[in-house]
Amino acid sequence: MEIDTSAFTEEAYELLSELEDSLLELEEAPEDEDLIGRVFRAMHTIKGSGAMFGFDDIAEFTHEVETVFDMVRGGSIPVTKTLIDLTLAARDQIRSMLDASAGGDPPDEAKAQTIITGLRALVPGGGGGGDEGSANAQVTTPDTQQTGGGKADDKATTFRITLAPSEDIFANGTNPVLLLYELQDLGPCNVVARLGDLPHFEELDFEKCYTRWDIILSTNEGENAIRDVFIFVEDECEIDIRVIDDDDSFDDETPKKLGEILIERGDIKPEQLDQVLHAQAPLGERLVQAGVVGAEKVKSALVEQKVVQEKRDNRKKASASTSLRVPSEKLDVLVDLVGELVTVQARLTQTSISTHDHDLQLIAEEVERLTGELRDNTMSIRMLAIGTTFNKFRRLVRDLSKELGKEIEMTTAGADTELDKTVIDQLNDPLIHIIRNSIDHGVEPPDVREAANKPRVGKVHLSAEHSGASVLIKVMDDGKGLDAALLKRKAIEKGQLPADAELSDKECYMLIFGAGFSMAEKITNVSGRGVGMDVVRKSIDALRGSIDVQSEIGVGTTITLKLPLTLAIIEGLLVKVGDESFILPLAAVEECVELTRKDVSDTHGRHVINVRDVIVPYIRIRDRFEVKGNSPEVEQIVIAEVNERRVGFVVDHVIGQHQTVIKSLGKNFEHSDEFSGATILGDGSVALILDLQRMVQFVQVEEVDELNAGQP
Amino acid sequence: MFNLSVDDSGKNGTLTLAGDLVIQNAHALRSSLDEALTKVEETLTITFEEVSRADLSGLQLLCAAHKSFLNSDKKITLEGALPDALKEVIGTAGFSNCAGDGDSSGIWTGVKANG
Repeated sequence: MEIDTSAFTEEAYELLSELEDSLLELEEAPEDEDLIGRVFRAMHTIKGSGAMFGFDDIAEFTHEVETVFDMVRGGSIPVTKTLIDLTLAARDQIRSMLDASAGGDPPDEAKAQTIITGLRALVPGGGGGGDEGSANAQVTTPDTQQTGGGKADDKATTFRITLAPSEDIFANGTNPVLLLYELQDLGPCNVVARLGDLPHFEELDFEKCYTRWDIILSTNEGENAIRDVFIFVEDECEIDIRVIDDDDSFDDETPKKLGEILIERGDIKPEQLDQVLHAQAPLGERLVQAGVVGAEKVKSALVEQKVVQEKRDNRKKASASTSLRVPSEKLDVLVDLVGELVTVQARLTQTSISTHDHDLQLIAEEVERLTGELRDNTMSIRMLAIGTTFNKFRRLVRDLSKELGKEIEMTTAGADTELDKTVIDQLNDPLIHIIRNSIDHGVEPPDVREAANKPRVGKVHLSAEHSGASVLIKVMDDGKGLDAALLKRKAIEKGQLPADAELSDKECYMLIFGAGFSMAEKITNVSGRGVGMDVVRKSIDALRGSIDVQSEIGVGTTITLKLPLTLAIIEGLLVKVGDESFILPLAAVEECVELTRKDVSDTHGRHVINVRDVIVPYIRIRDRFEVKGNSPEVEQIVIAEVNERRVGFVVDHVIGQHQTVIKSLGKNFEHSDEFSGATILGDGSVALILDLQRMVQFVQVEEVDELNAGQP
Repeated sequence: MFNLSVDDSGKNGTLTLAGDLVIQNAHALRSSLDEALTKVEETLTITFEEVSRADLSGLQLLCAAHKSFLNSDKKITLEGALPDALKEVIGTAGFSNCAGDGDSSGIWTGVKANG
């Protein structure tokens, strides 16, 4: 049987990232028992499920760390920096073992050995954790003599079979013992004959069967194979077959108590069990009576037990009710389907309007409402809190600052801000580059900071917040800040900028995102090759986001990433220019105003309009994309906010709000930078989705070029 | 086939069983056990060395006899080695795990199938 190990690897990766978080927190709060417990449990689970899924190397390695943390838990080993370092290294080692199992590079055995040796050295006297003694006051242990030649491995299912032949079974020539022989062929059996119904010798009819059996059978064959054994005696026997343990059972789970098994089998009633249990004094009382321990100590231990139990119960309840693990591919399919549905719904609405069928229109409206709700719900399922991504960087900050001899504290805010999973996935690399840049170039070494009257420990602050249909992610540092003049000079030296270029401070800051631009005097492992920030710009562009940089010399730098909430479906504003349809992202749209021929002539052909005494520049979409035909007498200007400025887009007609399923334009149009995609309208035609930011950028560059060309 | 001998005091008896302890011979087995129950006052020793096989009816009879002996404050002990065939059926049929009656253990308790 092929075992699906993906469940384990997925869980293990998750546990490892939790483990990293817990260890980093533990470093800050070494006395926190809850954190120690969390580390121990993570290791314990990885070990347990690793062994279950055949990852013996991982189980073996993790066991070493678990052993040490068990002692930390018990208070015999303190939490030290060495312990945290070693455990973090162990965590990385387990990760590389997991990667290796998925076809990655083989893990470094020598490193594993070093970690194990290091961990063992922490154990006082080199002793290991012993098994806890069992407090079970079992009177007798039944002889669990096993019979049977059949084979069953660890993955076998264990069944409880109750067999009660009718008294007259011998008369039909059936020998029930032969059935037991057949069961043995399926796997190891524990058979218990129950003779409670056996009458007194004087009354016994030797031609009758009084014996019943309880059989515990472990087999790989499945329930049907067991039923086949009884196929010819079904009418003469009462047969009950139940699974009592299988591959899905948790190894950590305590086996059922005797009373539970007896109740489950129907041998006793719950109230009978209660009666007997109450008749017996609790262990604590008995211990006190025996003079082994004082009543106070027992009471205190009971309180501890109760608290732990309550905590565990709550945790179980919380995890059971709040999450469900689903492969992300399934969600992708769901989103695609919802996208298709939205498109079909648009067609339905269109058809209902054009046929003037009132009933159909009512249905179309209802479908539109439901589709909208379905879309919002589906999108919300894909939303993930950015906190997990933030937490990944704690380790990065810790290790990097150590490597560079800096002291940096990372703080976060808005970790529960939600973003589409696709956006989050693609955000990881850009954020790594930005944070590296802040640590390497931004935050100064401790002595420099002290000399500048700044706190010795630098700060990197990560935050996320919603802003309309976007999310703002900020990386702030309190380092030395960006020197606009220096940046410009470097760019000119490298020939990336003409010597006489005039740039605002903000434009100078943006130079750091240019390809091959680097301010580093020396190339370190961390940065200095001038590739990182270029990658950031490309990734954020691909996500249809934007970057903003604010900086002050000596105070620090803030890099803000503005990202769309989702990449799949957006609310758009449908407009027409000639026969062409376009979509503008509704989130950016502020208002629509009319543009008459007179307005145009009043401004002498310059593309600006006065809106409530404020001059707003506009772009004529008809001219920009060379749309054929004549513009109407009165055109519409859709005013949108682009890069914190109001810019108008002139169109023939504004049709209205439109649920826009974003379809990629495909390879042939990959250089069409002014469009972020396309969508299919209700009538089956295609509307291009405008990338307003890019359009404005292009127009600005062209105008500057024209101005330069026009100069004598 | 089944031979009962009781000592002069009537306290102890020995039942020697041989052949097949199966349903076909159950009547005879029952008679022998019945006789032993009546005649032996304290301890009945049973030897199984000559037994070639047994079935469920035989095992049930022996268990019921054991129960009756205990109820009359008498006891049954086994003497000599158990033939493999007998041990196997006792093990397979789960009689070695049988808890007997009340506080006492069953007649076959501890018998290992292949021991």
